[in-house]
Amino acid sequence: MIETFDLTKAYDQQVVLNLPGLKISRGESFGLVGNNGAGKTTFFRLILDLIKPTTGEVRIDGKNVAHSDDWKKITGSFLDDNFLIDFLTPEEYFEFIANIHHLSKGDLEKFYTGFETFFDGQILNKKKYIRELSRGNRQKVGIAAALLIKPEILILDEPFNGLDPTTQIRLINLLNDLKAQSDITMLISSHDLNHVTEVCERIVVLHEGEAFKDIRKSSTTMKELEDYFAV
Amino acid sequence: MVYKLLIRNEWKQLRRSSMWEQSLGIQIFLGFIFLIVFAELLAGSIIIAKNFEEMFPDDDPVEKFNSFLLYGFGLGFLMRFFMQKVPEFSIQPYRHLPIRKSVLINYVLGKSLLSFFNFLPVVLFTPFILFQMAPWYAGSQIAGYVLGVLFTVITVNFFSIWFKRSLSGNNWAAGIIALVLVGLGLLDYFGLISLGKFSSLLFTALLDQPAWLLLPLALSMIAYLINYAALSAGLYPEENIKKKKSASKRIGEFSYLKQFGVIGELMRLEIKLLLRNKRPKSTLYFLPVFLFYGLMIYPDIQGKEMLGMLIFIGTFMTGPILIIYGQFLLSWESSYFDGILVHISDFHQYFRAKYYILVGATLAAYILTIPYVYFGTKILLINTAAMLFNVGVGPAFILMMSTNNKKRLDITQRAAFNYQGVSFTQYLMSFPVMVMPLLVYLPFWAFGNPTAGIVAIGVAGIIAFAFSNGFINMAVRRFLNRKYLIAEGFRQKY
Repeated sequence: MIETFDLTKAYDQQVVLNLPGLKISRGESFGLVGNNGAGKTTFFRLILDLIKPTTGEVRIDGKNVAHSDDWKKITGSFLDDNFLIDFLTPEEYFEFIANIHHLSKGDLEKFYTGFETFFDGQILNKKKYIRELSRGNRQKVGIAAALLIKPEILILDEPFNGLDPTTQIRLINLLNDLKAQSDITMLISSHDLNHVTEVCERIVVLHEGEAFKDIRKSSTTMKELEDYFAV
Repeated sequence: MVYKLLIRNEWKQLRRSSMWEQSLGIQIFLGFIFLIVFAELLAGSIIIAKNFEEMFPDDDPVEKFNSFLLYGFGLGFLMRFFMQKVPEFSIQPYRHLPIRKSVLINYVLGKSLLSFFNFLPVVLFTPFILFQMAPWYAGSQIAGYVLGVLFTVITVNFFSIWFKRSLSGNNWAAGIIALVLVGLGLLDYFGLISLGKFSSLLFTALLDQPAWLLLPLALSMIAYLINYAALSAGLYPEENIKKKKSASKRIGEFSYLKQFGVIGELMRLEIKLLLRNKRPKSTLYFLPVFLFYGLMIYPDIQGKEMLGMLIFIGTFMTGPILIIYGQFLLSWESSYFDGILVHISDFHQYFRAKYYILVGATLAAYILTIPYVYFGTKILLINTAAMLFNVGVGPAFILMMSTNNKKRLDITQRAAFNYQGVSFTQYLMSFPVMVMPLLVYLPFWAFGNPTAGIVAIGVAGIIAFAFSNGFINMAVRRFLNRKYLIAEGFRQKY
């Protein structure tokens, strides 16, 4: 589904990401962990064609993301506040995204019902602009908008950051349900090893821009990860 | 000493403000503009001071001058209301530190005295005092007068801050003050109640009896203390944010645009952006200035053969949105640009939405300028040509140039005197828009056929409009080549 070819990204000769041949297949849940500056966000931005690779390319369904826009129709993503149009109300924002992606009013209604628990009464009908929401609630809006388009690929950068414990657990359940019901491909990064291992089957540890470890989840995964990070 | 530390941080803030991050070229340009304005003010006040007797031969110059002062201070009050910052937000980072509240309040209030508006009177008063007062009055008299004016300036400074803070930018209040000023001026003009005489009485008294100094002194102290009391009662920022009306009331839906699919949706977004954010909104307040420009110029040049000037005015009045909104195209959206990049799969539509808004705004401005036909059908003809040009060539040019914008713009901040997000691109954009119609006109004028020149401006616009699709495609191609650069720039918050 997603493949990198010879992919590197460097700033001023300093290589920050080097993932020459990474393959993520359809239906895989892919967790990305690593310390600050390891290159997680850079990798996601490269997949989403937000920055230009220094060498190589990312392909989604065999097409270079920089040369085709097809992937935009099947990819839902939320990396940071730069994705949110903060002078809209959440409803207006969802409607905007839905219209851009040609979803119907019925789709939107279904989406609101599906996300009722996740929103926890904090998002809809509050008559507030997104910029007036707390950080956690903005995060909820961003994640929900990524899922609104019923994506085949979901990319979330640090989705658990800023969420309250209840919502964190709800998000984990939401993602696991999604995984069980569809063959969605998920790419999720996190600082929290517990959260990532609860959702993802495959964990990649990024270290200074390289895939330091690439492991399938098993009973020893947590131990292995803790050993790496406890330096 | 705490004040010293605060001042040092203030200095750092000043040195590192976005104003100084501009390229050298812009700094020179802005410095140049500033110098010109300063020189004009100074020259103006010198000329008025020197020729005051000729301008008002029947009156005592000092008394006459003083009769204008209350109006002047009233006007100053209004200008401060719109442009002067309420300074207390800058002390938020210090509030949790062990610094006495009184120190912070005194510091904040003292800082407000450094405003540009408090130095303006120096330029305006000095020539008059030198030319009209120094030869006839004793030093002690003049000293009393200067101090009196100084305390009045301070009074106005503190009252305007207090007023502005209490109203948190409710512009209707300023409107009321403006009306009161105009009303008093009219009463004065018709000789009913004379604020001018009162003003003259007050300030001339300063020259005769120094004890009158106590009045402005007391007023300035009262104004200071009111501020002090207000600030010590509430240094909490949220108290200064006025209770927001519920969002539903503020939201215009522009639903009729929905029928135009993705383009309509993008236009709705763009309009909401304009109406809901401080910076674009306060830029829009300048629109009437553009439209009334004709009212100031047309009566003066009626009957004269100044077609070039008329073309310039026509371009100026029909293209204000093109200039003030177009110059920051793309930059307006810098805070959510990554979102745009991952959601929009057809950038032709994205640019077309902007194109339609520019065209629509030009047409609207044109309709508003139609009444100027009162000054002659020639003016209507010229404005029509200018409008056609601004519909055809203007947006194409602006869309193309907008791909040079790559500085993040904080749209939640005020617009006046705000250089954040400004780069040379803005000047490169606005200037040609104003000049291009003249360039089309010039050759025809040189060959003695100015009417053909005006027709040519309109025809150029129509031709460009016919090829708008091609122009948009060009802009999109350029955008796709530069999008990483643009997005990278927009992510840089400082």
